[in-house]
Amino acid sequence: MPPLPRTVRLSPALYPPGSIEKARAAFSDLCSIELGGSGNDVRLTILPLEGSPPKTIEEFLNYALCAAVEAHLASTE
Amino acid sequence: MPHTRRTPLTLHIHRVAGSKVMEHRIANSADGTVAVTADGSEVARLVVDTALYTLGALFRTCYTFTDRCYIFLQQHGSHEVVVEFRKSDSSVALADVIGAFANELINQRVRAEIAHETRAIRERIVSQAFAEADFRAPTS
Repeated sequence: MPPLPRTVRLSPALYPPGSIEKARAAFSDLCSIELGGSGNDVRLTILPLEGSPPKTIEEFLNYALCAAVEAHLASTE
Repeated sequence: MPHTRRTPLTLHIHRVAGSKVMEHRIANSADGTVAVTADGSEVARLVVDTALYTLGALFRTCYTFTDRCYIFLQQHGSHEVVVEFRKSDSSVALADVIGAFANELINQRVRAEIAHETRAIRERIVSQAFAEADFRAPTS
């Protein structure tokens, strides 16, 4: 039984689209991603696949955060 | 007596649908209600005033804590970001993590301030050092 899906509201100022795409590519074997909304009201649904580890959603979000931080620091330094 | 750094935090612990949720609010933040999602796991939230702590300081702090716990950021109004913490393993004490996170926020903020204050002299030192260097390929 895979972990239950989780929907979160994303701010593009904190998570640029590139960071989500990077995480999506890295976790393509573990979960699928649905993006809804637009502008500042972007909703991301993470749907763990059958057999994925229990913390897949949290790991995905941590990965996306690290990608967002790297993008932010690269653009400001 | 050693100097103790004090972090202006208030702590509220309550339960929502069986989940233990801790909300920490940096005292300087404006009042506001933070939404809580009950999924059965322990979740802690820290509201960070981005007028006080820059986004750069917040990002750098998050980066150093992603190996200790799971972190998710949510924009809350124009000057607040809610940092959501979840345990990455059962031995992690979220209250301790939040305290350390808040201290690291201050640390990163001060580092940024010092970097800004010393930028001119650092650039002068580097340009002086390179001015004396000879980058031409050695001739045989």
